[in-house]
Amino acid sequence: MSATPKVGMRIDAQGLTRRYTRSDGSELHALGPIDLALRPGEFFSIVGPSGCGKSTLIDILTGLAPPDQGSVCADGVPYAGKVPPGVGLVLQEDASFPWLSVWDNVAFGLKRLGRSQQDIDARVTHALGFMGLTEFAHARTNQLSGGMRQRMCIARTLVLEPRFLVLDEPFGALDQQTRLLMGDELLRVWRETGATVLLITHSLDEAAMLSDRVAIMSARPGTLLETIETGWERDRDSTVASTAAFGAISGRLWERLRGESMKSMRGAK
Amino acid sequence: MRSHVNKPGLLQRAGPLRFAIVVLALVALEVACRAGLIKHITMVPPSTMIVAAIDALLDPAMRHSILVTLEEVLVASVLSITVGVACGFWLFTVPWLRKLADPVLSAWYAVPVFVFYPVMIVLFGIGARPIIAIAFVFSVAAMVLSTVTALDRIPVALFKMARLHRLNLPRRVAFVLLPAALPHLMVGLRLVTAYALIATIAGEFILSSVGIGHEIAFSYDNFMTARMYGLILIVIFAAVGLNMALSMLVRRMGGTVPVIKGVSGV
Repeated sequence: MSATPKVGMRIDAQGLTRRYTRSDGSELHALGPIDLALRPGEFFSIVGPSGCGKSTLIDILTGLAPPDQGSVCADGVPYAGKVPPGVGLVLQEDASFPWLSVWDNVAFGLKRLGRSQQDIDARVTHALGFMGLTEFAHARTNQLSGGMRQRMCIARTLVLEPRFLVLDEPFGALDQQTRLLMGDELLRVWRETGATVLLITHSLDEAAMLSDRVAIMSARPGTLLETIETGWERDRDSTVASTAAFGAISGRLWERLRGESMKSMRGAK
Repeated sequence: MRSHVNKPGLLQRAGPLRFAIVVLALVALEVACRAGLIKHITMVPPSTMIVAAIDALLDPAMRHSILVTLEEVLVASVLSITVGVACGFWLFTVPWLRKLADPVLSAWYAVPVFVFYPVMIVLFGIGARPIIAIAFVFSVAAMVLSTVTALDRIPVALFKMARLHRLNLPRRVAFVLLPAALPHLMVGLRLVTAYALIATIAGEFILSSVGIGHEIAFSYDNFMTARMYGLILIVIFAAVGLNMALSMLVRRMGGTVPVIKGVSGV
């Protein structure tokens, strides 16, 4: 969104572990131990089978929840259980504020930060145009389709120019063509802002297309099995999907993930 | 833009149909009363009720009584809303307390609170205070339950967004939780005002020497049928008017009016 690239956040996580107590008193080991280091300004994706603890990992990495064990640092500063400044999150589920118009939704964070009206107007106008929502600026969120609401939530996050952008299946509500286009837009925003991006997705193709590195999570308790470097240039777009290298990365991801998904399915049964 | 207005024909005509049924019923009642099918001592024609209501509203003593009742309802409602919302938030944030309070709140309306009148008189003396106390006790649980339900219905994603924006607790409540919960809190608000009105008028029937409840009881005891029905009409209009005002308020704030036990929002 901004013309001035900023330095993305460096995230270092060591030994992250999370356990839950079930209603019957038994313990559920949901996550970890996980060691993770996100380089400033890189595009990092995590793929994993259902129920492997991806959402728990997001909660910990955004500071929404503390780990039971381990540490997490932003630029060397520990922040377990406390959201550090400069973190943006786009969720898979609808996180729009239905009592506000589209405009006010996107302006929400800027207003809370006490930005000037001129700044808010400029940023929101740009973000709505960017997401193709200009003509719906004064609509209520219940007048939008699921995909439009999701784009609005993405705009609400991006106007704040986060240095660490976490995306939890952000394109799940979108159709395939829009997903590809939004992927391109996300890459453009990533290049422009210089933010560190963490994408959690079920789509292996999406992870292979967008990321510098892709990590594969195991079935519960979720740990990182392997991290694959894609080797894409920074200046890339969805056309990489038509290359042989893309097919090889996607295939390798599936090869590694297949067994974990089967384990997860057997566990669910 | 997707339009979500896709009502079947019958629903589109529901408003006028409802109005027509009410008008027809009133006309039938008017005819029955005027023709002597219903004795004057039992019920007066609706037109006479309206005249009696207007007379009551023009009478300074009666206006004072109405104001006393409204004041009692207002005080009891404000108390119930304040205490109810605070307790609701508290129960929501402390799960073990909620577990403890759940059976009490569920059984609240199984206890006829009016039996505590003597206790209230002992505690607060004669006058407005025991009536307000009874109205408060009668209505506060509705607000507590509505608040807890309203907070339960806020999607987890909104709690996360509130924290992601690094808002402190008061700002989280003011900018996210309260607006998100408001449509369902309004159910509690409407119940509180309705219960407070019921309890206040019932209390005035027995306890008070002033107030519209007392005036209705006085009219009944002295066979002033027209006056009694006029006052009942005022109470009905006040209750429906209040309910409509609260529903409109929700709509103005962009919320939808949830349904209370089969009664659609006005």
